[in-house]
Amino acid sequence: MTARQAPGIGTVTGIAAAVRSGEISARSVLQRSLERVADLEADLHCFNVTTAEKAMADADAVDRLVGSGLDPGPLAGVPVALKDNLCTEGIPTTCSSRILAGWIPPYDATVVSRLRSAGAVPVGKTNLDEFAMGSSTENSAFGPTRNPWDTTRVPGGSSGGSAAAVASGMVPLAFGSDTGGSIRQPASLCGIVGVKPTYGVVSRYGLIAFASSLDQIGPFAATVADAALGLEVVAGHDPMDSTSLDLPAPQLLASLSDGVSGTRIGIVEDFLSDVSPECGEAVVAAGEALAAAGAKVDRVTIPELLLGLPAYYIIAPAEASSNLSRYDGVRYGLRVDGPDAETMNARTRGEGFGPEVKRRIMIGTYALSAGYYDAYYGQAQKARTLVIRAFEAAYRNFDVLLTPTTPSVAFPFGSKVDDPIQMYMCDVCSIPSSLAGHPAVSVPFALSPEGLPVGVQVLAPALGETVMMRVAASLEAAAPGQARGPVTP
Amino acid sequence: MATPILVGAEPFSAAGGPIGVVVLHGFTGNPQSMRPLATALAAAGFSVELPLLPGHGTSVEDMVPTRWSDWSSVAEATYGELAGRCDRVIAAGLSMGGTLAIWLAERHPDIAGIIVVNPLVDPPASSFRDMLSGMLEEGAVSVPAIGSDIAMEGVPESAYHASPIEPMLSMFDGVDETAAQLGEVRCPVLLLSSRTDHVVPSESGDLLAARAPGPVERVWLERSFHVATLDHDAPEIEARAVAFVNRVAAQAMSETERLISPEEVRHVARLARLALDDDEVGRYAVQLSAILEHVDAVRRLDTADVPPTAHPFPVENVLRPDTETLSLDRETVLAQAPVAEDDRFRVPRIMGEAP
Repeated sequence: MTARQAPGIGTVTGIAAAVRSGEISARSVLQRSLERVADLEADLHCFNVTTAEKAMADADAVDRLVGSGLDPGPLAGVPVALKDNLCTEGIPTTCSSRILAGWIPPYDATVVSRLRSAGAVPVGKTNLDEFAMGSSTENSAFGPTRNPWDTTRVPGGSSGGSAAAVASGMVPLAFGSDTGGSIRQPASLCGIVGVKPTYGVVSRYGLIAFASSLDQIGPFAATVADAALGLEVVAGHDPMDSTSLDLPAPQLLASLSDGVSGTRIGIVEDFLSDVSPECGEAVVAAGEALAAAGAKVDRVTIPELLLGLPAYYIIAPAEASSNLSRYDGVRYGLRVDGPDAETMNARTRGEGFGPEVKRRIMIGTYALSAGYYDAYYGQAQKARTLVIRAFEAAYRNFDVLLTPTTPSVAFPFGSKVDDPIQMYMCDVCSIPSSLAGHPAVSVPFALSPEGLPVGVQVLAPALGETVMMRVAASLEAAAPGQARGPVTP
Repeated sequence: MATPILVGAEPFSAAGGPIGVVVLHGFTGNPQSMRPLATALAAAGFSVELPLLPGHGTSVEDMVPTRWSDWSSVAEATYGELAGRCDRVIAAGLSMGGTLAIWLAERHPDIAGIIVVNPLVDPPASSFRDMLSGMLEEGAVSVPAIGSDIAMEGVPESAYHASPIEPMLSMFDGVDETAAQLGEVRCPVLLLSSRTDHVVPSESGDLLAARAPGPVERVWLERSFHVATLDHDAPEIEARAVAFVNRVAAQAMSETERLISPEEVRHVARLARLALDDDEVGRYAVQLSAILEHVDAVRRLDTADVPPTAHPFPVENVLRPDTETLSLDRETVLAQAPVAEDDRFRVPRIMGEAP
């Protein structure tokens, strides 16, 4: 049973303002966060590792800065959770895989160093589907994370640990990675806000690669403003990532409450029929709410978007099969010995990777292998072009598009894990933006008949974060309050 | 003249796709107890037949003259009818319905799988049967039944309130026959066992799991009693049943229609440097075939004039100024290596032996 309106940790903007002004100490905020982790972690399993001692030192450093009249930064004293595929110097980073168990990165991801520089206090590394491949966290080698709304159900994935940590009020801010929906889908299933930025807006340096042309880091928070602040802090050009866009970080908070008067919003009809009724109805209701707030809302069909899912399940595994070739038992992680290097490589990978990772490596290797490259990978790249062109045409008439985030609310453990295609279907609405490199955000907007959160997805063209987050803020204002966390399981 | 059928006890039938499921209710029960599961299977697109077994669903008097052979022949006929119009057939049953599903699996090696919820498999002790026979001789026709063994409050099972003795003894003979042939259950089995069951002891499930040579996936239902299909765990049973049917049907189908052979799987695994055991090779052959079938829309797309996209934005070669910067500390990096020696990574030999 879920106790609603349980006390959480507070908002990012509230904590940062209070710590910066000296009203509360970063240490006391951290203590509340760690207490909540201690209370709930056994039920939820959000974290692969927590770093209380290091966090105490970080919080004390923030308090010392405030004490000396210096500004620790826009996230002063904000406890933050990091998906365990973001490299953290001196702290184990596993991707929830046996092949990396115990590995300690020698450097911080750019996102991590930017968060630290902004005064944030990392409290731990969150659970994920192994190497970010999955939609439920059931593929973690270290056991699943449970949904704080109903612990018999999945929190979504792959960034399920980050989503559940925010939804349960352990931390007000967390980061994850999104390749085909891995931020937006768990945000939707856990009743919080999750943002996938435009490809290249946030540096991928130090994010352990899954599919490099799709991977993007983004924030989870209970409110749109908190997610916007988190994104502002980590965004911006980074010379360490050659795909990082040479642009300043977007300024989102300044215009967040400007409303949607005159904004052209398209409800994408193509996804409405194949999702569960509550997910489709939430989108229609969201459209009505935005129209009432002054937006111009219309319907649009973009059938090419349905090519996204099959194209993605060739492209992402193909890139993964190449990226994951680095786990060879030589430089880091697990090694299972053999008489020669090739046998050692194969045994290490056979034992170190879980079933879904192996499945995707196999699909990708097959799709790239001689005789099949053109039929599968080449065709998928062309389908990707068709998806991008279809978006371009739609954005001539609309500023943003609305779709369901997911085809269903949080599902019970075990209900999809043996059926890869059913699991892959979870990403059907989120994948098209990923293929196009566009930004998207999931906003909690409704509750299903069984009391589970339902998210609505706002899509925007490349670098359209400002209008996208403004629409998200309007949706948040119109949504019933009980549709979002924090919740106590 | 037969008594009218109880409300909710009507048989259920759904014309669906090429995968068929026979759903069977238990002794003294009726289709009411299995209707939610049958409906869920039908909603998933399967062809479903849930017959009303002879003597059931009206009044206990109607049941007195019926026997195991009456019920099993309806199960058999329903199976045959579905097998005639479907590519693959799965049987599912609760309690004695589970026994009947097992009995079908023993007789039909081509059944794709069975789903059994608290099946009666372990024959009752002879002392119990002797006692029932004794009561029969003394003129008793039936004994009080344990119907509605459901943890969830306010959910009745519309079963008879009495168990007729002669049909019960006949059912036990059927259980004897079924238990003796468990070695013939070679198909995948999804066994759902209530942790607390006041009707069928868990030894029945233990026996099935121990004796069936096919793969048995046993799931414990923590929150339900005997009639678990109407109890707290009903949603889980339904979700697992649908996933199981999808899986076993795909496995069975793939033997004839698979796109990727085990040999190809081994070849791709070698390219990917993945050591796979035989089980994994078989499983991936099935799953990769299913995934490739799913992405076939992309393969068949007419893309004559469409350029490929490798990256969302044009990627250019990025150069940095040629200035010295610190690289990672060698010792720190080597400390993470599985084996290091003399400031280097150590690996097994890479080249084959010289001829």
